[in-house]
Amino acid sequence: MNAACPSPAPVPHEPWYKYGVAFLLIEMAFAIAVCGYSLYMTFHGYGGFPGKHQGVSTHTDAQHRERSFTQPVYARPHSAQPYQ
Amino acid sequence: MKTHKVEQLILATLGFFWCFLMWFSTAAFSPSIAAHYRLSIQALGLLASSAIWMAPVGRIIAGWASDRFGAPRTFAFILAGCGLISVASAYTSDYRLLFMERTIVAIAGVSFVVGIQHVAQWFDANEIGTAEGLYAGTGNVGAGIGALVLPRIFGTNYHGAFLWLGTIAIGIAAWYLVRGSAAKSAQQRKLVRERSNIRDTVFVWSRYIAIALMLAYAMSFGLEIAMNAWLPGYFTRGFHDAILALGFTSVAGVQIAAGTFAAVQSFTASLFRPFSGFMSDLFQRRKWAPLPFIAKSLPYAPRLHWLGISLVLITLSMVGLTIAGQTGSLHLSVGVLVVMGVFISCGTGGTFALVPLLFPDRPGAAAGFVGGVSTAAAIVYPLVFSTNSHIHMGYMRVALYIFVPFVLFYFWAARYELQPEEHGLLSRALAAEDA
Repeated sequence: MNAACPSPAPVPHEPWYKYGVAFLLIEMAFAIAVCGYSLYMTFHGYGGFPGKHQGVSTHTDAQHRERSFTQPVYARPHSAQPYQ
Repeated sequence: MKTHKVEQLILATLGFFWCFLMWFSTAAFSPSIAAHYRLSIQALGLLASSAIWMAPVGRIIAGWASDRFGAPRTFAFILAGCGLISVASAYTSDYRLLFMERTIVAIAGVSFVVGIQHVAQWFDANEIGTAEGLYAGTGNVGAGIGALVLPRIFGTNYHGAFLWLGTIAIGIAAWYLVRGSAAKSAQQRKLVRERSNIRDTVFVWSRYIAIALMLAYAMSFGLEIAMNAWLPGYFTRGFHDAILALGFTSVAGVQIAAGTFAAVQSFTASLFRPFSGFMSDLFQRRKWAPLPFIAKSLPYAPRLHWLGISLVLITLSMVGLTIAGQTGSLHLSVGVLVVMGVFISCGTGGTFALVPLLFPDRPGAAAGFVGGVSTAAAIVYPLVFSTNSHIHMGYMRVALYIFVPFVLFYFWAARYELQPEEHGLLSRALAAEDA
């Protein structure tokens, strides 16, 4: 990197700074975890964050209407099924 | 009153977090409100869009008020005012009155610039990036937390939610008034107060570097909130077959999948923002100034370079999103979107690591201008995205016709090696005699 900036010598950080940096690292880890979890859920056919695991029908609305009189259709099978 | 700058940072962050929680609480309960009042799709869209109506003008006024009256008084006024109206809305049974009350509560979103001013008055130049990043990034999460947590706690009882949110806001306002302190020193407070006049505001607005920062924020935060509104529809239309292939075959399922893909952009953009402030501090500390054209001898030159890099990365990620969309790969598009969220956070954090340093005597006016006017961009981008019949090409169009000129203007405005804030559209005499 070019170091042409002639600004004064770095001032040592105050004690709070290391806690601030730790907090922002926690926030980043939280963001990565939530994104990873929600994308995993979604790419595997589940609801994704905030996790509507029970509310995602695997059937079209028309199929849903037809079958809703006979059996619950909200249970999601474990493997993702392609639309047919 | 004895206090510490970390206490002031916590106060500002908590106040901002709660304001964002109130700002987006209407959206969190919009299905319940729509069901209760039997709203049409158009009425629901109007309710959703009303959240942003007050932002551009409101932030400009709030920025000026924080310079004039001090951040604690301004923040307490916003919290208490919005809190009281939120409490009133909990007892409202007429939809028109409820709509008006919730539009007023949405004013809470203007508090962003007040906290920026407050933090700038307490933290030194070598740590301002991290401090502003922690404030803005953590506070922004209030919007996401509201969408995720409020419906789980209150279910469809939005009356109860509005009551509690308003009551706690009034409590935070009282705490802010008692423990908040406007600036580190009386001398600094006096200087900022004296500069809170119309001539100094015009001076800030007419500076090339202020305009460049406003455009940089439009490229980052403006894009973030535009994408929040645009992406669910984009994924639903652009990747409909791919989402069906995942097993989301009902309308509700497709909406959930598309909403989840869209949410990752917003989530990473918010929570990586403190990291961007930290990177700005790191560039400053290591004196990294790698870009051509941009000034290298200014005391804060490395921060200008960090923001320049961020803007280039945002532009490239827009091109990448078009290319990923053209390949038809849903996984690749979502991956690019996550990266774009990080780059957007680099832009938002990098911008507000600079604003207080460029205008140390007018932090509120500068924050109001940069943070307020830029939100109007959120209205423009979706219009450009939707002008082409090929849905993936919209990002490329925005990158080429809007972002490239913005980046070039930034490089041009940041080239001055001495006092860039002296250069602007109006002469010094017209802008501010004593500026």
